[in-house]
Amino acid sequence: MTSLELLTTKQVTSSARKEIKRSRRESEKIQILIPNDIVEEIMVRLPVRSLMRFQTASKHWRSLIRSKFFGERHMALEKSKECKLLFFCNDFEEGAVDTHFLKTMDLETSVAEETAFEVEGLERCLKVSQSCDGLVCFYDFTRAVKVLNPATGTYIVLPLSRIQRLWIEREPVQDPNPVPEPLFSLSSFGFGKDSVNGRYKLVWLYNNCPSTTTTCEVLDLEEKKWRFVNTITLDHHSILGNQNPAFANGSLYWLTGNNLGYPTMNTTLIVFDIHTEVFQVIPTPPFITRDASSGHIVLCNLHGRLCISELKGDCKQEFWWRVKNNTWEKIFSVDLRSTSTWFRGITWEPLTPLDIRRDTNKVILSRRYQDNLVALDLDPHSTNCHFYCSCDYGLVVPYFPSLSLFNSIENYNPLSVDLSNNFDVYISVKQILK
Amino acid sequence: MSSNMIMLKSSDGASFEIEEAAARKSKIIANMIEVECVDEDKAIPLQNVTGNILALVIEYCNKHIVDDDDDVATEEASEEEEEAKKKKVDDWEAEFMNSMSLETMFELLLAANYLNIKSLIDLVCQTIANNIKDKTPEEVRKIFSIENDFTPEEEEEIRKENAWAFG
Repeated sequence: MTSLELLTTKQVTSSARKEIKRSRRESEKIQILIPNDIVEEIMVRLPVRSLMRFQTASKHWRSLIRSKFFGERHMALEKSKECKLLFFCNDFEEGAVDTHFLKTMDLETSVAEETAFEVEGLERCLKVSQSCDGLVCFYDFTRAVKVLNPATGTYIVLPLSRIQRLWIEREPVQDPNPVPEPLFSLSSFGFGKDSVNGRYKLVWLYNNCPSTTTTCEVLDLEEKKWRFVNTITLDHHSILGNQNPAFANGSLYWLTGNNLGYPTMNTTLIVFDIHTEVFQVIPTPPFITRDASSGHIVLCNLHGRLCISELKGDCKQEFWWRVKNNTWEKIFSVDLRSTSTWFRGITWEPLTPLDIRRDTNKVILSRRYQDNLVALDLDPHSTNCHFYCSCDYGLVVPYFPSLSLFNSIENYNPLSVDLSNNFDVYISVKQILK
Repeated sequence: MSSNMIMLKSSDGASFEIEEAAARKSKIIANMIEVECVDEDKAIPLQNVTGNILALVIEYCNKHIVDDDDDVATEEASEEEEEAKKKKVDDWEAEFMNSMSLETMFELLLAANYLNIKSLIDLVCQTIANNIKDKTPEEVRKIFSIENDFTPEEEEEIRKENAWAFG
């Protein structure tokens, strides 16, 4: 080899850069033929909104984007990124309190982005499930559950469950000495995914007050029918009312309460394996005080892990998450007296972590998913916390955009579904054309 | 040539000296070294990669040379140090991809694919995705030389279904 041939990397790099500058000026018509598998590598990294648009590129692109395989690959990549928050916002500006907008917010940039949908005519008691694989359920007690993918705009309407029918059919209370109403109304269903076969299920567990039994209704999204599941293994344990069951690793978790749904001492956990559909009662982890009230314990899913925390008498709340089967790791603790200014001075109600960011070492905290959101710096030397966004945003759940539902339903066309035959047409899904 | 340097030769005849550790970022070259089909004084010919692109690949490999050994060595390193290091690499990668034309990116992607350098494939794919995410379907067809096989009616139908995504 002659020394002339041997260019240094630096020289070639600089000439390559010149070449690059030159070709930038030319039109972006690429002469290189890219093999399909490489094109797919690029596509799988595109945001959902772009993929929705690029369906019109060609039949091949459309069928690829709509394939289950592609959807799963896309989701695996999205999952590994930092999560977003999905807000159900009231439209205060236009004075329409009964209209909700769906907005997603990127935690990194704090940029809010409107999704394709707005929800009209919902009553005040709108409930939102936890999000699973980019899907979220919203409903109230008298209206059917909608399972929605806010990113693709695909949704399905589910039949009413027994508990909803009971609620609708109940007589208005005229009696001057009314019998107390069962508090099953305060329970929310759990939404999760079978870790064996990947099917999504809704699991509605409620107390049959005044007796000490519970009822469980389950709906498999592929069957779309509510059915009962045996709760005998719960052995008269009741659930705490007004809680959002936490989904983690193929199971759903509830805290126990009394049969009226009020907090009790000696809290235990109720676990439901979504695949086997079997309930189990297990003790709380050892770091939770033995006679702690369930009102002071928070169970949630944090970055895919089951997270449990207890607000202790000294206003300190310690957060732990499960790293392996029975191994728990302490993540951080918060003194509620230092954060209470953001939460109307309340120090007696535990906080829920929505997201934790390892790169910036921050955690986003809220009270019951519907108050101000506060970002807390986890650096032990810093007591810094700052206001993240206000409660005006309404309900909020951690979320990431996916192609779920869009690709599992063959030729499903969300906007041509005729809802007029559905007796509970209270929701109109409108396109927002910017 | 020192024993841990190897020579790569591009399709257009340019030769590059590169540290073996950096070259090992390519699974193909690592494989060649394993089976000892690399003579000390002979360059590895890379018929599918031009000199300009190979220079970029080498620039990338040299920058990421420490990665693999680091995994073992940095167990002791604090989280902050790791974060700082990651940020530095991210910044470098952003600068590296910045100002590259789409065409160069595609050539680099093909080279990374041929040489089997996983992290470079990821980086270029993500950069291209960021680059095209706001484009129209027409622009995308042009970039990927895709023939539109929809009838105008079919295309209109899909557009209508997803009108919000076109906003």
